[in-house]
Amino acid sequence: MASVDVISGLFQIINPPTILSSLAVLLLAYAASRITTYVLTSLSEWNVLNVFGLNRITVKMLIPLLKFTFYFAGLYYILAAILKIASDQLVLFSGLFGAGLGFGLQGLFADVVGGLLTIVERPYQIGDKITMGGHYGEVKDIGLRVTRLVTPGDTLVSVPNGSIFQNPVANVNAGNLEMMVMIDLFIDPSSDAQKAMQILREALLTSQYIRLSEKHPYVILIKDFPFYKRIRARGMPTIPVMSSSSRPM
Amino acid sequence: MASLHCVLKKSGESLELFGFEDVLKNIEEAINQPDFTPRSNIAIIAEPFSGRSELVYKISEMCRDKETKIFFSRLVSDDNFIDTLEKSGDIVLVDNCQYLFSRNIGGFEKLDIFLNTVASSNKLFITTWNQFSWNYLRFVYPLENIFPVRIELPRLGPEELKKMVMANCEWQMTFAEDVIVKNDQCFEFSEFPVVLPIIKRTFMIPIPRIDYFALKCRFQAKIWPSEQKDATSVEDRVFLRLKDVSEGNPGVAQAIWKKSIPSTKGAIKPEDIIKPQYKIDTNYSQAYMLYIILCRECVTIKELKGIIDPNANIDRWVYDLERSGLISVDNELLSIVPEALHSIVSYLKSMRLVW
Repeated sequence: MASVDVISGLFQIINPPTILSSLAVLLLAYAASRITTYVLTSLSEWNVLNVFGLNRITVKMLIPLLKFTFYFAGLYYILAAILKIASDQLVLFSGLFGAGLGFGLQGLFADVVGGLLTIVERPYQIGDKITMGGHYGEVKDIGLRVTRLVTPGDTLVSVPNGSIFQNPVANVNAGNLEMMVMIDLFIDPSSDAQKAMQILREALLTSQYIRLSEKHPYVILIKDFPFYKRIRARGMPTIPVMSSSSRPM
Repeated sequence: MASLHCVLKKSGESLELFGFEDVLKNIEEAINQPDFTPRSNIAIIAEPFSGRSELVYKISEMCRDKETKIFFSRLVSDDNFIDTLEKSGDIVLVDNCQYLFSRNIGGFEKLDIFLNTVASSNKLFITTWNQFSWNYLRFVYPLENIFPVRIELPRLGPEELKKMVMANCEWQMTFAEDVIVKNDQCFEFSEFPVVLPIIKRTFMIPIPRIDYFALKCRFQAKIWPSEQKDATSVEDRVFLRLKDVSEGNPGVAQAIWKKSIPSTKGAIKPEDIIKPQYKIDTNYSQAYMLYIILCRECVTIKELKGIIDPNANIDRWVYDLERSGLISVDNELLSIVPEALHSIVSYLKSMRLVW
């Protein structure tokens, strides 16, 4: 009998004004997350950030964190202040939510939890080059449900966050602004290996993308194989910053 | 390349140099070492327009005919300098060593020869380098072993800039206070009516409006706090502002001074010194081209085509940069506009091309 009262109480709470108020709060959370995304994205391209020792990726990393904060604050406000759910109703609500999960929301729930884990564990960040769910690209956005990647072919791929539970995520630069590249050159055993090494070294060092510092060394390696020699160059090119005129919107 | 006569003043046969007294003292000590032992080749490293070449002239005066001077002003394309190095005196002054290499495959040959000569010679080498070229080359060659003494030219302070400007000014300067209106309110709120369409009610939304003049006054007061303002004269504040906007670079300071203060100007106020503002927006390759011009200081379009992708539309890029006021083109020679130097460096840092 008591549970019937609780259920009827729950349905009494959910009426047109509370639904409208809840929708308004969700709309506010959505607007706040959109505005924050826009402001932080614009801010991340400011040259002035360098003065404070920040780079665009550091600023952009705040975006998913703030998004989650807005949505969870909105949800909390709806449950605590608008619906004013009592503890027994909350238990019932959790039960209903659990049943919902069992029937078909588990994918959505896994994606949201995956998004949360991405924020906490940071297997990748905005700006990283990753392979996720079989897709390779640059992380453009980490949302509540999906992570958006832009592939080298300029295709926007939305990969559900839940895929981090099933598949490994390969991260090429892991938050760094440079990533290691490797170039192999194969030459005939009778060729002048020293000359070839010098050419490859100069090709690497004169690249417009190469970054040289104590943290970004380069190396030229040679290895003999039965019928050829392999010269390998390893260096750390920078990931070019696209200017506003050339950046895809 | 803009010459820096501003730093120098002819006084009879001698040249007067401002702000580099400590540097000259260190170099004099190195020159006066018997047999230059321990032999410590010197690299003088500085950004463009900071008076490197003028310093070399001054060092040359100190050497009293023991020296051989080699001044590079373009990319070195022949081996004539090797003969000069072999027949040189005990002290070899080499200015603008960034012209010894080109950032393309096969472009390091001359620098290799030069560094081998320096390493194997018993002479004392005093060299000057563009700071951005040096920062790149030090990871390509063991430059710090070959040049154990490295001197970075100091930035000039307001006093030194004042002496420099005064020494070259041919008209009587007078100074006047800025007109600063005391107004603490930088923001004012005005109400903006918003009509909601369904309920047809009008709400007044407070909209902040910025009082730019009050903001500027407050900003100026922050730069020059009241104690400092009381303590220094208007004249000193003019040169303090010049030092701030030029970051103590004499060539940049001179260019800004010339632009801000024409000779026909009456009384000079601190706010007359204008900080140059540039809106730079390029693609990565164009920024790289700007970086090459910054590193080389003086480069031809033909040389650029040898460094950057030859299929790139370099002529159009050059036109764009010239139109933006960032570079100047003189007789096919490209160079950075002095007052744009720090905006360019800041931009290239954001593009991660300069570090």
